[in-house]
Amino acid sequence: MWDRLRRRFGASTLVAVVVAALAFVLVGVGVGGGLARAPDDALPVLAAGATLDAGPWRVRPLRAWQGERCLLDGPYTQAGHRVSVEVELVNLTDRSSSTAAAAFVLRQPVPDATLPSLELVRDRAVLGTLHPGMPERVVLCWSAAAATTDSVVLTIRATRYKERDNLQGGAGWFDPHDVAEVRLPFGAPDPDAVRETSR
Amino acid sequence: MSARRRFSDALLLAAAFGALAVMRASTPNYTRLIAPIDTHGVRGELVRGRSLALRVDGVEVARRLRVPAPGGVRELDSGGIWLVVHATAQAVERPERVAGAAIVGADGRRYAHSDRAGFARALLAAQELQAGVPARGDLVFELPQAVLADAHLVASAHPLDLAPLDSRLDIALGLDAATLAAALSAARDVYDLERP
Repeated sequence: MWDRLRRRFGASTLVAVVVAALAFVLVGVGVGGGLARAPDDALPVLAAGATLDAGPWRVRPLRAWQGERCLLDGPYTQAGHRVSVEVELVNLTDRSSSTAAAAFVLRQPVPDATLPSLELVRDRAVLGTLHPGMPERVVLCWSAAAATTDSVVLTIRATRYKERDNLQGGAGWFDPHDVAEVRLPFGAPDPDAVRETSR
Repeated sequence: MSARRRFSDALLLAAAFGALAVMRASTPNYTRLIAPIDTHGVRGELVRGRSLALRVDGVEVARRLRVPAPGGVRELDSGGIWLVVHATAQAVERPERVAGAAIVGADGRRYAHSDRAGFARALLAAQELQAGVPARGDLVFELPQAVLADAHLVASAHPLDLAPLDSRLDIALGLDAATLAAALSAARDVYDLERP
């Protein structure tokens, strides 16, 4: 094939075309930012008190505070640094669910945080299931190394409903992806959430 | 190959793809294929499944629920209302529990048995049911009042979404407009799970 092309166009023309194509590709890659990873798109910011529908949950962040214990920690829990965030949640699915913790990822002050503990403010007790269409206030609490910032940053993680998933063809919520970022300055705890007893 | 033959082959191929598309769209998804097998019944009759038999004796509505708590009792309020289902249940073959129970509204939304009530002895879910020995107890649900109309109780010896192809009871609570109005007007302020 090379011989046929050379006979038809001449060797110097072919070399020029190849060099031009390579230069075109290299310049294109350079202009596009080289081979480094493209920066992530900035997430929309969800303000305190604003509402967002994130897949199965309607989320309204309310306030954040820090302290030595989570609300549900007993008197014998070792005191450390804890970050608490109060949110209002509504289950938008068609059935009761206990997967609310997966909708929140703490980014700061703990970058790779574990799952939070969840307290149902109404009961001052561990959150069990949240029922469809019934708003509840919930306090999420994480362990953090130390107080290094004056605010907490977390991302809201949504999932997408599929009638048939790719593996078995069953219905469910899949494809977790971050949809918004929440920044809350640390303030005073919600007095209702830290009250002594059940209402 | 003649043009006519080619045309008929293309038509046949198109028809085959059409049939495939129809079959794919009309096949229930996997969740539906392995869904629990319901035994239907109505309030007042003993409905027998493969592992559980249950009769709904009555329903009550309350605004708050009094439950045992460490060192005493506590009252649980709700963003909606509390529905208390009085039921009699027994195992069919071997000891069982009512491990999955929920109220399904007319719109298909499912409200699971409340886990806020803990382990009050009056709860049917707290009792181990023996084969052929009827036991009475309550099932408690927290739901918006609008869900009550024409609601069903579903109950199973296994957690509801974790028992594919298992036997499940589906019992209509008989909450038509008149019954529902009577239940709501007779709603209690507090239902006591300690002394029902």
